[in-house]
Amino acid sequence: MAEVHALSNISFVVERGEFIAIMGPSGSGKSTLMHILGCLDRPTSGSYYLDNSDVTALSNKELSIIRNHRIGFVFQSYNLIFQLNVIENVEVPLIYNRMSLNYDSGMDKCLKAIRAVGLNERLRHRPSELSGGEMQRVAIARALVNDPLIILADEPTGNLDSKTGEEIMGILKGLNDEGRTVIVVTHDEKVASHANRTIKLKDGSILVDSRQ
Amino acid sequence: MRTWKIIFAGIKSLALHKLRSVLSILGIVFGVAAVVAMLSIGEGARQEALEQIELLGTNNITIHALALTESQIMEAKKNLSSGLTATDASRLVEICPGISFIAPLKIINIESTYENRESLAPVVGTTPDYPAVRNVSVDKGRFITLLDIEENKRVCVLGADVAKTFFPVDSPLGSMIRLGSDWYNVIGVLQKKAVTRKSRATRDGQRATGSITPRNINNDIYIPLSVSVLVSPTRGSEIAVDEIGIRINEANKVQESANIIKTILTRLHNKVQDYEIIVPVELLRQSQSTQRIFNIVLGAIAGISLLTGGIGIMNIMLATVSERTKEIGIRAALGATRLDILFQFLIETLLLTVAGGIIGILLGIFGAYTINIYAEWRTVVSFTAIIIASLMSAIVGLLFGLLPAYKAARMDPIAALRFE
Repeated sequence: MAEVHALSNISFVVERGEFIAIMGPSGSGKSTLMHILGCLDRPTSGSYYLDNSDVTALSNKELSIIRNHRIGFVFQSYNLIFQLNVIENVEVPLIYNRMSLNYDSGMDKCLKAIRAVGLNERLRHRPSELSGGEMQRVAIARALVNDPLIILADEPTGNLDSKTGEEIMGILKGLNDEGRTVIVVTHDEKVASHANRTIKLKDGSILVDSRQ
Repeated sequence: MRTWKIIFAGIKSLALHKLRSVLSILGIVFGVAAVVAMLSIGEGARQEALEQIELLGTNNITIHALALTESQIMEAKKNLSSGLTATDASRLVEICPGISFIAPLKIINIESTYENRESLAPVVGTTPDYPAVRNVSVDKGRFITLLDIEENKRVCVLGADVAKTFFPVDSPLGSMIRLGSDWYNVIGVLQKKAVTRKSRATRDGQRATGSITPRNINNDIYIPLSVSVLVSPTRGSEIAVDEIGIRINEANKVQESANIIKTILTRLHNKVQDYEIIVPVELLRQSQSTQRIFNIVLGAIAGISLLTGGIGIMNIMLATVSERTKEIGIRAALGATRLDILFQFLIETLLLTVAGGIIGILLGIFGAYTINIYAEWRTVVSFTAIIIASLMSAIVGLLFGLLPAYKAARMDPIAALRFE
């Protein structure tokens, strides 16, 4: 059986502080690219430099640490842990942070992240008691709590109505304005319009790489 | 702090499925409770046996006459055995080395009265060695002497409890009490000796065959052996006795002397088994080996129940892990290492088994207490039993938690995240 490559001949550089939209039809390799950028997967060949260091050959444990310290994930289906309340969900990345924190400063970080997404009032609520937009805000707060280099958002507005979707994109844009690198995977042109650079994929290769 | 967070998260996840968690630990609870309760029964039995054996005296050997059936008596007559006799005692002293004291006992069931008080205390004919054999000293007055025996003097020595019954206030020495139809002069009172509950219950000279319960020395009235023979004559020329108490001078010679005594008696009685020899040291060894067997059986049962309990928990945890695949994926994406995930699920299993262990220990202690109250068995909850039970529940948790935790840790984060 011939090997199937989800991605091939892909090469691009992301500058610090960019807001990039990765677009493409399903099967174009968006998700695989996202997984590699998020250090959840490794390329079979080629290399990935994150913050000027090659992370291609790192061990599972080292990748876990990078995910924890450098990358904040935002998913289409929010992916909150349903038995934990808002604060506890935001706290999860802190638990796995190797730099030990005491309880108070951990709490401060959580509250700061929650404030940044404008969700001060529902700290003790469970995800099931929140609306989709609120859940996605919690997810963004969780992505922010370890102060990462990159926010990776995979169809962040896919499950939301357009108004709420706009609000979420507004938050992501705001984070980008503060200097954080944001990469959004989407097939929605309206979502992509927030970005200042768009990479379009087709059959595992880059079709268009355009800056606005 | 991290560890505490993970433990706290574990408690939270378990609390989410309270009924499931409780049901899953039932096996461990009952397993541990059974271990604690049975170890307590074992320990209680061991202590009780030990106390009784110590009461008999580890330096002692006791020979009991056995009640024979009609056909056995015929057999005995044919073999020229006249039962246990005072002659046996004197021959043993002559032949067997190492005997420091020896005293034959002849028990006669006659009523004893003083003024208007009556007692059913057994009247025992014996020789001057008896206090030394039983390691009891004379509290007041003196014990029976050889002269008393030679002159058939009507004198008696009272056990501490009997003395108290007859003479609650004044000194018994010099008083005359009536045993059967004769009057006896009280010449001494023995010191009170601690007895076990069982021997306190033995009021008369009768005892079950093989019983290791010693005589309740506090409840006997002692008279010279020769006098008891006059009161209750036996057929033939020999003085039939019910018991011969022997004290060996060195503890490590007891077994050796017991063997010699067995050989001598077999020959004297022409192989008729109309007596039994009780060697407390031997009993001690037997009770220790019984205890070992008991412990092995107990260990096996406990092991099996903990095994099934552990498998039950493992089953639940495996189900929990696959149910929480998505959560595992999320945690992995957020930076949990495989070790973190392994640790999380291992902690959850450990929490379950340790909780089960604690409840089991409490239940076991309660069970031991209940058995003590209702079955009147002595139970002793030892520290060791609790340690063993705690260790076992922790080991079960580790052992059976490992597979589910390993399964969780081995998941591919991408596949786990896609899981719905």
